[in-house]
Amino acid sequence: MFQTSGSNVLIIRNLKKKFGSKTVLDGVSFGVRRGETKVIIGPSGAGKSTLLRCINRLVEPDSGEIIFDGINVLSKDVDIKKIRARIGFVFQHFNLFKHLTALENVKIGPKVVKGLSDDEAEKLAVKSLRAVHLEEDAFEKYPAELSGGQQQRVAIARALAMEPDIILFDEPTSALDPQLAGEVLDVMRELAKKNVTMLVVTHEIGFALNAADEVLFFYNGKIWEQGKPRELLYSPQREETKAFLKRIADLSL
Amino acid sequence: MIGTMVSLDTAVRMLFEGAKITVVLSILSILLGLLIGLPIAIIETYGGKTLRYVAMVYEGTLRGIPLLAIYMVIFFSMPLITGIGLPAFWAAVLGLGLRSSAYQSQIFRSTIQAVGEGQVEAAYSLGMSKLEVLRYIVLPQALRMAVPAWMNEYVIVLKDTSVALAVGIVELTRQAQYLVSITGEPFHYYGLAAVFYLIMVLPLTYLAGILAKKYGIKGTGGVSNVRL
Amino acid sequence: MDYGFILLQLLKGLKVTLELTILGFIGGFVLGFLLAIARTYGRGLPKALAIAYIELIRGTPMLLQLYIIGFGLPLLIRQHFENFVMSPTLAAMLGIMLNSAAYQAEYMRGAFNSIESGQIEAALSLGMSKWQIIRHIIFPQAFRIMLPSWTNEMVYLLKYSSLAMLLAVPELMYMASVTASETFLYAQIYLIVAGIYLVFATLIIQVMRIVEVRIHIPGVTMIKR
Repeated sequence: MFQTSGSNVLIIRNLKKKFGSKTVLDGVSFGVRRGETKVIIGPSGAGKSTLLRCINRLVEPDSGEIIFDGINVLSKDVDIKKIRARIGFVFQHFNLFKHLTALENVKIGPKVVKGLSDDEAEKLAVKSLRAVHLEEDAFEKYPAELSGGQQQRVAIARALAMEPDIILFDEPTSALDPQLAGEVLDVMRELAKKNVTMLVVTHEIGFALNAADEVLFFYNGKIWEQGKPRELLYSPQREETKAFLKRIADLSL
Repeated sequence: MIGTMVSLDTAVRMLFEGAKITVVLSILSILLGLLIGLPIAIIETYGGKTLRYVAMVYEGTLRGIPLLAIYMVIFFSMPLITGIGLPAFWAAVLGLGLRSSAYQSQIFRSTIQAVGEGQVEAAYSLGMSKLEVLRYIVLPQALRMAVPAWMNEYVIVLKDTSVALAVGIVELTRQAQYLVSITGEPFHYYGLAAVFYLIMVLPLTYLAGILAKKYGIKGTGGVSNVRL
Repeated sequence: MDYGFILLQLLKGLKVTLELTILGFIGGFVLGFLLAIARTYGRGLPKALAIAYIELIRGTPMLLQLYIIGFGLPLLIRQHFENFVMSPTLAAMLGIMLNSAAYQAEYMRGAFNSIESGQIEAALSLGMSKWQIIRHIIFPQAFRIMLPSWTNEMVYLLKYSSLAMLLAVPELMYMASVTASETFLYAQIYLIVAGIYLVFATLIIQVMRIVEVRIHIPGVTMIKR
């Protein structure tokens, strides 16, 4: 689960995607190294979500390359299910399985996809749920009985239990009110400290400042600027970055 | 007898006569159902314990018995008990109407309850009486929301007029049956009757679907696909 | 007046009614499932045929459908197999199955569609195969969502099996009319039969309610007041 830093887990090259006449990804390129926490910020729009969904091929890009741990994800010969099992995905709306308890939600991946025994899967699930600090009495509850913050933490545990090489976060706190968002961000900060490889799309600038190794500014289908958090957020180079950050600053006042 | 040739023109005319009866029967029945069903719905929502219980029993009974059985009871049992014997057509209207009233009361009960309690509280706060709240606030909205489901119920009533042939009503299906019996061509005339039904039903279903999006209860889609 | 005999005849009819109801429901389920898959996940011809079939069945009375199957189908088959005779009961059962299939297909489609795509995305992201998703995620939820529809459908078939009487199928309603015309106890017999239908309808509803409560999961199914 906890990798040593070093080579690139993920390389994206010149990724392009159009929906109808709208260009959503216009040549996106970047890499994520093992142990890194990379944060993508930018105005709301379909682009950032689509980018993440291309990485595990929930969405098929039009052109470009996605190399995951040396494997060409977009090739026809690859068994995408095996790749998906190694990439964790945390959704904005949690997407927990409604008919399963918190524990069962975390167990089902290891059991059904990785073929672990019920015992092994349970041990792993308990470990993951503890890592996200879920209250013990919530383990047997159904998603409908959990708060938003609890649900999202279960979703993170579900991703962790697969022992992935990288975890993708798609605006994980956007559907939560500020108090619940805090619990989730704390968990994510912890993971970042433990050198879990993370690619996070978020509006939470605070998280970007505290936990990110690098911040990317995404706008109009492209990465316009990237750099260390303090550099990009305090002294942005490009006009577009400046404009976006100013708007965020106005809003958060 | 079998093998008589009937011209298409004659067949269509005969089926059309049957269709007229079908439509008249369905309209009278649905209106009877409305006349009884709406008050029952109001009783079930606002009435006292005993009244509510009686209404529930009424509803449950009429929904738990086949239409054919209702017809037989009206035709045979009712005269014995009440001394009133109805001519076939009105027995048919009564049977279908009573059954429809049970389903309509369900529809109206759910739309009445769907009118937000907050509005009712606000109306009382203005000083309105129970009756005024019902008349000016609840019913207008409840009735409007009920339109798609009500149209759905009408379609069901329209189709079930076919059962009235068992008490001698010469509606559309009975006419088709007659044509089949003299020509020996079931597919032709039952098929033709099916076309008649589809012409009557499909536009209504389509309309109900559109109205459901506009007026139906949000979250349920308004029109129920469920039979009951 | 041998009331025992009357009751026996009615019970014979009840047996046929229950057969029509149960087998009709099961047959309708199987065919309905295929229709639902074609309707929800299919494309092109299969999907169009499924839609046409469903609209045809839902747009015409069940009685008409029973007449077509009961009188039309044997005629059609007799054109190829000279001495084919179809028992009315079989015809009625077939008609009921074909009818129920169209309605059950729509219930299933509703259930499939109500499982949000987000859960399917999450399952895909874990690396599950389509079959695993159907088995572990869709089926358990669809099954629970559909239970009330099944209750409705079973009660509906129980009641509408009475139409088979008009095809001379010896089910409950038919036996009622036969015994009534033999004994002239029309009023009483029909009341009793109405009562029998009511009892069984209530039985079905109560049993299913218990099942619903047993398998209830908050957030997936709703417990009715």
